[in-house]
Amino acid sequence: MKAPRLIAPAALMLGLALLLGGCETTGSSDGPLTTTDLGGLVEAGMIIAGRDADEAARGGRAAQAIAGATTTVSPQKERELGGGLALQSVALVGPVHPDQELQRYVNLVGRAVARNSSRPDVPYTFTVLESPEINAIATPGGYIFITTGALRLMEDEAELAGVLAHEVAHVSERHLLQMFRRQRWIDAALATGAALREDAAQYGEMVGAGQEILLVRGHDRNFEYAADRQGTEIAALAGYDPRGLQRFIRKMGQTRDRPGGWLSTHPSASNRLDELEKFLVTHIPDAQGARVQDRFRQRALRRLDPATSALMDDVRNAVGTTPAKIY
Amino acid sequence: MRRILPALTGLLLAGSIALGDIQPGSVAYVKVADAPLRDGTSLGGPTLATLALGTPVQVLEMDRLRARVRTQSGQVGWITLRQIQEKPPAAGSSGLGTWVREDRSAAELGTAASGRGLSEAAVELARTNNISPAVVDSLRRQEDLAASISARDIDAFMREGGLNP
Repeated sequence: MKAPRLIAPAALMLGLALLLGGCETTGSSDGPLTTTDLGGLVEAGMIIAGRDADEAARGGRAAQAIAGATTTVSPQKERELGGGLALQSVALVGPVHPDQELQRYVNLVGRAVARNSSRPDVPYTFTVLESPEINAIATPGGYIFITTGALRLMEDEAELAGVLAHEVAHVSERHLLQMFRRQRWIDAALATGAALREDAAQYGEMVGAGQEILLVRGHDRNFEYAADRQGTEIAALAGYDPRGLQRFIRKMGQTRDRPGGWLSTHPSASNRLDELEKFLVTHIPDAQGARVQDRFRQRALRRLDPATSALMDDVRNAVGTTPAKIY
Repeated sequence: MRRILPALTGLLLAGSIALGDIQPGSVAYVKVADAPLRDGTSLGGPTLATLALGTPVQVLEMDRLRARVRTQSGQVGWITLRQIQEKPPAAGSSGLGTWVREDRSAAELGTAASGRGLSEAAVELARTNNISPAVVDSLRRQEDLAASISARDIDAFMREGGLNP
């Protein structure tokens, strides 16, 4: 997710996602692309849905040039790298919110969308961090974070599902690992059979490189657009309103008072909205799904700030503007 | 949504989905542990069945995100293209077990059986970087919380929200 204010931690996560995203291309970077080549490249997240074949082929070649090898990264190394990034992210973005009911709720929403991803077996761990930044971050191996600042910008569960699904897509498509392929030494280290822990200095450098991507530089913009599309898709597969992520990005784009976070590490909100609209029109034209507003208010917003949330409910009830439909 | 597209077009339009040679008329295989087979009334329509890893399905038609398939028992429904592949998955290549079986240092994990747990390297790096042990503990609690949530819990949560488990 790329909320307006994702700070450096978000960039870090993004970077990690790319690191883990090693594709398993089997073809040569020379000669005509085969279907297998294309499949691997598509998996690399370099192809934008709805583009023509030529562009797809170019994207594929670019991905191959980046990958340059047939390296695969084991789930163990993915998790090992992700754990380091996750701890750094908590330290940099904000502490884990102490409310276990809130944490359980966010995990349920995240798992509901993750089961429709290409890698539902990853041990996803969703965590709310206390921070006013609007940010969401994902590390390889399935550590996904969302800030209280991002939650406060949301109005229903479909928006939360969309943002978490965007992060799940970074993990399941190994976007950060793919970004790391551009740093050959990391790629080489990940390709060996040696555990990362055997070289602490090298491991620290890897985590630092991931942090820079997730919290500062951000992922390649094509990975962000791909995560927006896939996130929207898997949220819709769970039965959520497919426009949840789109609504959140729009609101994020209108937020100007908090720098950093999703806005600083992701493509502009307007570009993301344009890309997402194209996808929705062509791929999910008969969009329907649940927004689940009341449960989100009760199990998320109210728990962020119980007194304020209850007061707002009272005001809504008094003026009769409370939505009659819960889900 | 249910237009039948030529296989290659479907592949390209599928975005980041790697389809290989999956096309109408071909056989595909489920590549995740539990793949929902849906009735197709919408993208996230009601689930008819859950297909296990490696289940072969006959592809009847495809749209940009899904394939309509028939199982060996004759059941017909829609499945996301993200959860099928052209070839049978190799033994131990997917599912939760992968996280343990392919992990030669799984025994180092705090909860090795689930593939969860912060690695020694991650914890040591945190120590080196002067990250408080409380931060490590808080993330471990989150891992325990996540591990305590079952597929049944998620099903119930989704039904409560009017979603499609």
